[in-house]
Amino acid sequence: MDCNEPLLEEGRGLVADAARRGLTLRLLGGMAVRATCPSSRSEPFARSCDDLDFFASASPASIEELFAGRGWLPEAEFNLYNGSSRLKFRHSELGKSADIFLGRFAMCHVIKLDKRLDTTTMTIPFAELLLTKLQVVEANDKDFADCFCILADHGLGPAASGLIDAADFAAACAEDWGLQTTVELSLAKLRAWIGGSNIEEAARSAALDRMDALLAAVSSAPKGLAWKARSMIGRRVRWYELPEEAERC
Amino acid sequence: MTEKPDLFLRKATGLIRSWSVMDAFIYAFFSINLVTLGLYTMSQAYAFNGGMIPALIISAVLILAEIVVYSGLIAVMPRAGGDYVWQSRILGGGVGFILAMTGWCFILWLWTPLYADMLRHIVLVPLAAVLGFKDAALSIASSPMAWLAVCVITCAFVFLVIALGMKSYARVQKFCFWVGNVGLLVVLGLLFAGNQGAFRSNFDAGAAQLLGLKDAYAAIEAAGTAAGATTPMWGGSLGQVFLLMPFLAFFNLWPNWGATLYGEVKGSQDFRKNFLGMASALIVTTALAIVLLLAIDKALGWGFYMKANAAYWSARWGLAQGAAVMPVWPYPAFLAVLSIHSTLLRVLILAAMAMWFFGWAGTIYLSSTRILFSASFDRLLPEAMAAIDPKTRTPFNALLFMIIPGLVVSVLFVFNIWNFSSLTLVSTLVIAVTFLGTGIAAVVLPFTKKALYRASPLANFRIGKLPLISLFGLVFCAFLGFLLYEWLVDPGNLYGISYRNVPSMLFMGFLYLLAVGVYVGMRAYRRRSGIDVDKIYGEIPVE
Repeated sequence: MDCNEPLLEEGRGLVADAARRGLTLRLLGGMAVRATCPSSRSEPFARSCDDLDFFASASPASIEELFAGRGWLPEAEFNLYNGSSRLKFRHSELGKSADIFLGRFAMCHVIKLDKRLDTTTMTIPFAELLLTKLQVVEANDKDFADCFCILADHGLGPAASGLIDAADFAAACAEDWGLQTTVELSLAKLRAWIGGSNIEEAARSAALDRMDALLAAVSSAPKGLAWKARSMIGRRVRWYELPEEAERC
Repeated sequence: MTEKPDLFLRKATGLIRSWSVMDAFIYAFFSINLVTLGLYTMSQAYAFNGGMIPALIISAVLILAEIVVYSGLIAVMPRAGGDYVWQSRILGGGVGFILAMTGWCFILWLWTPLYADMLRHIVLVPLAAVLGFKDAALSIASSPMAWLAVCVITCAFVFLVIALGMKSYARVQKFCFWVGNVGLLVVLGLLFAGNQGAFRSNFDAGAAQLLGLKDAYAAIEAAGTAAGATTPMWGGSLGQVFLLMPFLAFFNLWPNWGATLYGEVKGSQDFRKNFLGMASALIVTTALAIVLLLAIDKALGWGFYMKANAAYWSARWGLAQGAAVMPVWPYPAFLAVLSIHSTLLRVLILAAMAMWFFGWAGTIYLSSTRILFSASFDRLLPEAMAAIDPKTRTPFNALLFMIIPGLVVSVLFVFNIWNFSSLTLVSTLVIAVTFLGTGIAAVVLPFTKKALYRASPLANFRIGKLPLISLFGLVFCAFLGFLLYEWLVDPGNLYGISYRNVPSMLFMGFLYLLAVGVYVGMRAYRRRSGIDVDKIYGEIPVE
């Protein structure tokens, strides 16, 4: 059995419970990739996940109630200081933690995730899921593997059809020069990572073709005034945030 | 083969903290608020012989030692709770709890009527006067009931801005910062463009029209001279200059006021960034203060300004005979707008200057709430103290813990029950004692918490063989020692809160006993519940 299965099952249970309560909760991160990308569950991409990441469009109180109902304990001090935008929980039986972004996803870049949540039921749409991985400035092997799995397993097309929506992907980049810059850099690193990895040719080729198509969509998307103004400053000024570890002791 | 890309080690989940370094700078800038704290305390220090500008400069240089201490401790332990966490982990739980609770929480009750006093004199009285509500202006300026009402308004405003949360509060601060500084720039322009001859006629006309005073300038000159207005702008011996500092500390001892919030500031483990944020706030504020005093000298004449202060405070403190010739606080922005005749312009300038109050007001309780939260997580206060209303995410209990006693103390202060109105500088003394605890913690940190110190970026900063933080800790402690000696012993009888002031001693004694009582009581209660708080103090809290 996949070592992630109990945690993934809990993630699915939380999303289903949330839906029953009328709350919008979607899986994010590695577990969202595990839930939707078959290639992520087999070698060379299989790995264990230590936590559940979610995006929620709901009040902090309703999310706290939802998680408490399934035996999750709040990380009280973290939630006190960050609870308007982030919540953390710990499940003592599972020995795992859950991290919930409320209202918006803010890491190296801010990504609006609440636009097309009605097109999916379990995770956020693939274009946005890919963006949450590509927005990481200091990406690691796990991030690249997750990006590759998304690109290899899912074609391009409308989000409503369960595909990677290139128009949505490009539109998010067209709103934020900084995000586009990091995404382009990450895709270049991903291309190099794929080149240096032992990956089956068909999957490699599919992923690279989709990356090219996404880059073309990003490049051709019309840009707003703010994007153009920021592009004039360029990389002379830092264009991303670096998340800090929340617990170091 | 394709070149392998650069990869970084990154943990799975990070956090973008609520406040940027700029937000922390603005908080520090407002914490040593020139327009509220600065003008308020300088106006009361009218009977000294040391120069105000030298005192500002020398005290700022000494307070840089405080900034090194706090920047260093923040870098070592960037935790919400600041002084409380450092002292309790370095000096011991009892010391940390008692000093932090008294200096960061209980004494802030006394600041409630002081903040309200500044609100009425900086915002309400001048605006009412220029809008033509003469009686209202005079009543707000002098009536205890009006002052008490302003205390309630202050608490309500502070409650609201803290309830907004850190991110929104930072936006309020930023707005007030820019608008307030534009207002100050205009006031400086008006003052530098004026001259003393024109001011005299404008002042007499304005005082007659807006406040119903006749020949106010001459009356104030006489009353101020009789009240003993002596403080010069420059000059005085070094000793005389130092004697002004226990007054100025009310204004400029607080660039570290965000210390309890640094768990919520981005990059707070960077010593240089912390230092620059606080030091630039202190340096910019000191420079602005000097420019403002020079502008006041140019337009009003320093001598007249000090006499106006003396006339106002001596009447308010009951030291002068007869009716008050200066019934409103001599607010330089109000005096500056008398040179223009458009009511709209006057209102706009005073409203912009009011942002100095509104951007700052949250500092009264915001830092305190973090101490209460930290003590609650350490089980030294009930868990309910860190509870947040699920809908509004407002720490109702922590705020009520500050506001309700704050209003009780306001009643004592406003109506001068038990001579409470003489305790203004106690508000600074008790916090200075807490800072002394932190100064000592900084001195001993490299020697008592060697592993923690060596693992921190601070270990790289040394002067010769001595750790930087210990050396500056000693300087800071010496400065605080001087301030405490002057306040408590007060050989020149200058500050009014020495051992000779019985209510002052009783009030401080009450605060410390209260903290000791809570500590002993909660410790015993937790022990009965099977919780050893000493073990909690043996660990550094998570961020």
